[in-house]
Amino acid sequence: MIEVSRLTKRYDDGTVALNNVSLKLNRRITSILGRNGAGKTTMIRIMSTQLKPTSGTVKINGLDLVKDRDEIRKIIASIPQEIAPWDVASPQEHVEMFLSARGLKRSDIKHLAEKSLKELGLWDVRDKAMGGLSGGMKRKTFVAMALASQAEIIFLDEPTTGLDPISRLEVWSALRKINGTIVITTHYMEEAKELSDEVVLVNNGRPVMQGEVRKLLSRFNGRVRVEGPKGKYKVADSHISYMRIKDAQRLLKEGYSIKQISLEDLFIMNGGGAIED
Amino acid sequence: MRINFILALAKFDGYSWLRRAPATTIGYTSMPLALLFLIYVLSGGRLVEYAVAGGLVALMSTTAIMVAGSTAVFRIQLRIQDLLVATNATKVEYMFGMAVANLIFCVPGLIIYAVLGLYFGLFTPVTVLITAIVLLLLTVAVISIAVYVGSIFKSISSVWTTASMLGVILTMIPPTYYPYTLLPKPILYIVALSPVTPASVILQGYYGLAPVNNYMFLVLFAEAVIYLSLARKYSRWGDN
Ligand SMILES: Nc1ncnc2c1ncn2[C@@H]1O[C@H](COP(=O)(O)OP(=O)(O)OP(=O)(O)O)[C@@H](O)[C@H]1O
Ligand SMILES: [Mg+2]
Repeated sequence: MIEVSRLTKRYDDGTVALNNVSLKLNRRITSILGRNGAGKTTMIRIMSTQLKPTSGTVKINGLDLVKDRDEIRKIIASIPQEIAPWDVASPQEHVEMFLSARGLKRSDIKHLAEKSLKELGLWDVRDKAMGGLSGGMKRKTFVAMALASQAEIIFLDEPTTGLDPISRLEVWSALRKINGTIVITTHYMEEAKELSDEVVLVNNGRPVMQGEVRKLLSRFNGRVRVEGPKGKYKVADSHISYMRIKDAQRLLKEGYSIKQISLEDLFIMNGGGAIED
Repeated sequence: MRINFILALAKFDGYSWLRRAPATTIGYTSMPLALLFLIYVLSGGRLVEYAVAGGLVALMSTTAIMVAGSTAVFRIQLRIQDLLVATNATKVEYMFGMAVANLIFCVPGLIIYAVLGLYFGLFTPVTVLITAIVLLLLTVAVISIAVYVGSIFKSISSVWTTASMLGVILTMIPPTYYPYTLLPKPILYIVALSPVTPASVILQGYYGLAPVNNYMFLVLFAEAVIYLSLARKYSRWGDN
């Protein structure tokens, strides 16, 4: 359980990345969604003790982020968004180094590393230099670290960016097997929907929506997405509106098209698109 | 301090490098070896034993100061430091891991110097022990400086520039490749701020090239402890 209370982060250059954020995360897998620069990474970095908050408090399983920092570090594992592999070391060396940093026993390390590398389809390349692996294999190595970590709470910042569809499925299935609580960030709507019990939508340094995907989408009840020459929201070159299917059908003749509601639409409604009229 | 983690980091950083890209270690050995050759030619073979002792010290200290570079790469480019900050790994464990990695990385060079040392008759059981102690203390002192330098700059290139400059100051000015007795006392004391100086003085003494100066053991030990404590206090680790 993670309790964030009135958390603000102002970087040295004055950028306010998080603005008085309060939220509770207590589901098994939570996805944080939001546009580039919304504040997802800042939030993850603070929750995983890598970055100090400017103000506000965070409690993780009852432990205070600042006061009980060392205790928290025992129960979390966090994989940064921009982590990159050390070219000459192998996937196995990466995972084992991380596990020993987490203080696991030598005998456990060998076997946990093996299990997670197998799980993610990396066993055959376990001893190759990372420099010689594909981009997706590199990303999966970091997921293998998290999978093997035995941490109670795991933070993964965009773990599936750049993965092919099959690899993404492998990562999902690996994440589902983790016993602890998982907080991930992602830009893939499909992923958030399939994988998580709850999503948090962040915009401009604040959570604007939180809940089960199904419930959040229910606010559109009966409405569809309409794209055409005009609309309420403008996203890139598209003009988008939301309306009842009957009203939408009338617009079909005028060159509008109808789409099903998806998570993406939550985004558009909550600041992901510029309001047009 | 957790030895397990230190060794795992050393394997990750040093052993993997040595094993998969052994040629890079030759780069580090080439400079002292080139100087060895130069000194051999210039002194007509007279000062070559100094160059062997000095080369050993220079090898350890140049590779150690270049750890600033790997520290910076781990921190800025690969974000491996970020990864470790969120675990119970400590700054000091990290420093020792990098130090052991550097020792591993130096193995090929050390072998070359071991052969040269044997050839020139510099080694007895006592001098081997003393060499080991000196090189260890030297590594701790220089790595501390390196980790500090690697942790404070915003860009990797500033770190490289600073480290290369420090490398020259630390190893070329001290009596690495020439008898320390050539230096006037006051200047010797000033250059003794570089841990390379006491290391060279001790080795020159025990290799029978210059008078033994046991006082320098104290200097080297004190520098290892002081530089380590300073690095522990002032180098950046995470956001605190
Ligand atoms: N070190 C920093 N110094 C100053 N500003 C920063 C720093 N890191 C991030 N920011 C700013 O804070 C805001 C939030 O950034 P953050 O990295 O948290 O976004 P994000 O939601 O993770 O975006 P993305 O989807 O692109 O990863 C942005 O405006 C960014 O420019
Ligand atoms: Mg981010």
